[in-house]
Amino acid sequence: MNYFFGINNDVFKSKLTIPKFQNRIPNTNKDIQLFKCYPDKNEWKIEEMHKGNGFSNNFFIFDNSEIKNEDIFFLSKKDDLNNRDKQKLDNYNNFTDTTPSYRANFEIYFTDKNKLGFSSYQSEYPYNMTKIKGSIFTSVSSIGNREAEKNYILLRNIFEKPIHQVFNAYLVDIKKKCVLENFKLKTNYSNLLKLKNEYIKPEVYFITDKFLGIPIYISEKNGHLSMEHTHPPHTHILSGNKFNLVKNLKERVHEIIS
Amino acid sequence: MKSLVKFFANSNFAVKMRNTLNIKPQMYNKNIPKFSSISDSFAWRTDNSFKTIFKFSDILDLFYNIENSYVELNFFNKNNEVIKSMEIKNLDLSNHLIIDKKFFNGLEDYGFFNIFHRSNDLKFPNDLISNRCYLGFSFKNNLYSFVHGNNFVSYLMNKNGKIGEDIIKTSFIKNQFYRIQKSFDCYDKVELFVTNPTTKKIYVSVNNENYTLNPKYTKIINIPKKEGEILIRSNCTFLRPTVFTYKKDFIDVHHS
Repeated sequence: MNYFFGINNDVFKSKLTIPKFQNRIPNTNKDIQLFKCYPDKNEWKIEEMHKGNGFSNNFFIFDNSEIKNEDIFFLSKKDDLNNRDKQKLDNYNNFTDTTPSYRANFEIYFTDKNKLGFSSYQSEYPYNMTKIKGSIFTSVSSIGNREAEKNYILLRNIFEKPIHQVFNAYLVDIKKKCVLENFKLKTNYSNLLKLKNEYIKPEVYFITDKFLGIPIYISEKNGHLSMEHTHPPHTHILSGNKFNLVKNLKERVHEIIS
Repeated sequence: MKSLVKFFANSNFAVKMRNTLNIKPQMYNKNIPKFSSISDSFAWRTDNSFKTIFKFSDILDLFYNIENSYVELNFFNKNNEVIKSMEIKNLDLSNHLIIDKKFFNGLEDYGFFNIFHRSNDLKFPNDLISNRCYLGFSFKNNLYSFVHGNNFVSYLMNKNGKIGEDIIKTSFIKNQFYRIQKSFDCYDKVELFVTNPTTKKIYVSVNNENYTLNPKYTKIINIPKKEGEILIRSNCTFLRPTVFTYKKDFIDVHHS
C-alpha cells in the first residue's frame, strides 16, 4: 500500500493528482475512495475527502486548500477501515500494490503568484517505509544545482505512530569527515530545508539520524522550478550483499556525526 | 530433466510466448551475469533550444573503495547510430557532463546514451551494479528540470567489455498496457520521449495512434492538447517514457 503527500508553506504550494486506476490496467476503479489522515492528540484521524478542484471519473485532484504539511492521503474503501488501530498506520488494502509502483503526481508551485514555474514527479510513500527506523544517505550534488538562485531539500517522513518526534539531519563532508550543518526535523511532516549553494559539492552528503524519509531536491531560478527525489543507496546494487554494503557505508558516515 | 525444462522455458522464444499468453510473464531478463554494470537508456536533447546535463556518482569508489575506476559512455542518435563514445577517468564522488550542441559539434537532435562503470583491475565487485543517475533538461537556457533514470536496458560485462541487451522483454502481440498516472489537462504542450529498450522492432499505440519503433530507436511523440490522459499499448513489457510538459516557456520533465 502507498501513501501520498504534499507541501504547503510560505515558499511552496502543491497539487496532488491521485489516479483511480492501476498503471497496467486500462479500467478505472469507480468505487475507490480517497482518505486524508493526520496525527492529532496521539491518534491517527482519518477523514474521507469529498471535494477537490478536479475530482473526476479517473482522478482525485486537489491543491493547497486541502493539503497541510502533516497530511497524508491514501486510497481505500470505507469497509477496509473498520476496527482500525488509531495508534498505528496500517496496510489498509492492496489496491496500490502494483508493478511498476502505483504513483500520484505531486506538483509544486510558488506561493508567490508572480512566479509561474512548476515542477512535479510521480510520487509515492510505501507503507513498509512507515514501519521502520533508519537513516537516509544522499548526495547533495546529485540533483542540487549550484547555478540556481536557491536550493532546498524537502524531507518527507511518514512514521507509523501518530507523533511529531524531533530528529536530526546533517550535511556532512565525507572527505574532511566533518559536519557542515545540523537541522532539526520532525516526523510525519513535510520538512523544507534551505540548502546553501556553497555546500553543493561532490563530497557533501545529506544524512538523517533515526528516521527515514524521502529526500526531494528543489531548485529555483528566474521563477523556474525543478523538483526530483534521490534513490536510497541500496538501489545501486542489484545483487549480493547490498544491505551490508550500505550498512558499512552508513556506519562510516555515522562516525562523523556521533 | 528439470533443468532442461527450465532452460527451454527461459529461452527468448518461450519468454516471448509466455508474455503473449500471459503465462508466468517475464518483464525483465533475470539472468544478467555478475561483474556487470547495468545502464538505462538515458535521454539527451539538443533539439529545439534544449540542452541536457547528466549527473552521476562514482559508485565503485563509494561502495567498494575502488580507486581509479572510470566510466564508458556511448551516445546514439534517434536512429540508433553511434555518434560519440568516450571514457571519463579521474572521477569525483559526484560528476556531471553537459550535453549541448557544442558537445556534438553543432548537432541539434535527440537520442539516448548508456553509462557503464568499469575498472581495469580485478577489484570489480562480484555484483550487479546500476547507477540510477540524474538528467537535467534546460529549455531556452532556463533552469534544468531534473529527472532520474528509470529503467534497466543494457549491461556491460567488465571482464570482456561485451555489452548485453534485451533486459526488457517483448511479446508477439500488443498486450502490454501502461496508463500514465497523471492528468494532462492543464498544459500547453505534452511530449513523450520514448526509446525502444530492446533489439526487436516494437509496435506501440499511444491513445490509439500507432507507431513502429525499430530496435533502440527514439521518438518524441506529441500528445494533442485535447487528450487529458495517456494510455500506451505495446508489445514491450516495460515501456515507460519520459514526459515533457510545457506552460509557455516553463517546463517540467519527469518519468512517467
